Formats: sequence, C-alpha cells, structure tokens
Amino acid sequence: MLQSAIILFREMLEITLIVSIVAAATSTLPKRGRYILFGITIGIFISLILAFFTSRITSLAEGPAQEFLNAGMMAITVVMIGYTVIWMKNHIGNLRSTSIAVKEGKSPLIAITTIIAAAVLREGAEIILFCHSLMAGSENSTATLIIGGIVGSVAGISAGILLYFGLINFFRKSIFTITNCLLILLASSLAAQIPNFLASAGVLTEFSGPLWNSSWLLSERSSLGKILHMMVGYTDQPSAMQLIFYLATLFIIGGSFIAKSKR
Amino acid sequence: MPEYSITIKDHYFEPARLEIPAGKKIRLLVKNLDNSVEEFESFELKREKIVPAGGQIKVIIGPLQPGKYKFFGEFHEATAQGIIEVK
Repeated sequence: MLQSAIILFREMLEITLIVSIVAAATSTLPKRGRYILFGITIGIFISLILAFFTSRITSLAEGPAQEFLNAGMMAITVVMIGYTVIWMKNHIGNLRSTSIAVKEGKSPLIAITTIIAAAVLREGAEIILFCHSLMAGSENSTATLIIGGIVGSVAGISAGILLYFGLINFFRKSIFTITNCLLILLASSLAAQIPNFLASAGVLTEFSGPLWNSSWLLSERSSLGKILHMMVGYTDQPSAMQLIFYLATLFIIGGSFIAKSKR
Repeated sequence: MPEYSITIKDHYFEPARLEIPAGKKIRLLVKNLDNSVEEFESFELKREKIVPAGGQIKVIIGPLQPGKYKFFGEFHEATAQGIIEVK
C-alpha cells in the first residue's frame, strides 16, 4: 500500500509541479485556465493510447521509441517554456498590450497547452500502466494497493495545488520574477535529462564517468534530493553532457530573460 | 556491441549481480517474465525504461568507469534490486 502510494505521489507531483508553476507564471494571461485544462485533457488522451500500445505491441517497447519520445517531449517542453518566458517578459506590465496580443492570437497559450500536455504525457502512460498492473494483480493485497494509489494521487495533486496558492499568495509582489526563474530552472532540469535518454537509445555517447559525486551531501534518492531534482535539476552524479545541456538552456533562456528586462 | 541479459521473475532480477567490462559500451537486455509491468531504473546508470508484462527492452550502457552501479524495478522496489559491477 505504501509502495503504490509513494509511486503515485511522485508521478502526480512531477505533473502538478509543472502545471502549478506554469499556472502561477501565466496568471495574468486571460483564458489561460482553459488552455491548461485543454493540455491536461490532450495529455491524458494520448497517454491512454500510448499505454495501450506499450502493453500490446511489445516490439514497440523493445526499440528506442520510449527514449526518443521522452527526449522529444523534453526538448519540445524546453523550447515552449523558453518561448513563454520571453513572451511574458515582453508583454508584462502592459496589460493592454497583453490583451491585444491575446486577441490577435499572438500569445503563448498554445505553448502552455503543449507544456502541460507533454508533462501529463511523460508520466501519464507510466501511471496508467502501473495502475493497470495493480488492478490486474490477483493478490489479496490488490484493494489496499489501489487505496494506496488513490491516497498517493490525491496527495500529489494537493501538493501541486498548495504550491500554486503558495506562490501566488506569498510572493504577490515578486510573483513574475520568481515563477519565471522557476520555469527557467525547470526547463534546464528537463534539458539535462535529454542526453541520458539519447545515450540509452545509443545515439549519443556520454563522456566516461560523473563530474562529481555529491551523494554524501544530498542523495538524489532522498525526498529533498528528488524534489530538487524535479524543480531545479539537482543530480548527485552529473555527467559532462548533462551539465552542458543544463547550462546551455540556463544561459539561453535565462540570458534572454535578463537581457529583455534591462530595456 | 557485447550483449548482456537480465530477466525479471516474481519481481526479482535474475541475475541480481552482473559483471561488465569497464570503458565499453554494452547492450543490456531486460526480459520481463511477470504478468505485471515493471520500470527498469538506475540513478547511477541514469537509465529508466518501462518493461511491459511479458516484454523485453534494450538499454545501451557505458562506457563506464570501474565501480558498482545499482539498479531496481521502480514498481516493485522492495524485491526488484540488482547491481552491475564494472571491472
């Protein structure tokens, strides 16, 4: 029961963290709620299809499709976050120009839908497959495992909602800067995972060995380590490739964000 | 590329300890004989991949430095534990 609660809590948290930060960062954007819900719906729908194919067509799971899908989703998310951050920076502080741009269709609303759909999709198929295996289990503990899963899901979703209200209530004055910094770090942490998937598929070779090992200080397996991994990309044994992807994203999106704000 | 194979049965890895050469890329085959889905995961190896019930996956690993690299099945972590020793 505890195991299924922990797994679903973690998977749900990975989705809700992204949804909450995006929702808080774009809170001044009209109609953004609709686009977030649209993203969640698309994400769930594609997850169901993906879970079905992964379980039925075993040859699909055997090849590098999983890795390419994950790397692709992450790359798209990084680009869309970059676009959203820079767009928000250019239009914020001028609500009139924001609503005009939105009316003209020049807004990051589609980018928001894409970020959310990709977040749901990355964890969604995994959640569905896990839940399916729980329900298919013939063990007597099935009911408790399902209860555990529900408790974990509710806790994960609640944590995301708490983060959202925490962000918009406690940082009211600096909400824009804080949420955009969180988005930039989120994009960098996703980018840092791309080389792992490419290496797993065999299309990229990692330089031998990790750059450092800080697992003695903070293990990636600890609760704090996992949360920092999700939010800012903490890795206790990063490869050189990961650091390159991380810093490149941080400098490109972060740099554009700072450059624009000086204007 | 040298190929190594691991099977999952009753939520245990077999073999639970695998020896591979240092500084070489290898292909790891993970076969799931159980009727429940598993996720092959390793923090040290930086790999995670879903292994469908009755299915198998391929994962490219390395080149690695000598040492011990733990892996586990995320959906049955209590029993599904293993280690890759790079020599």
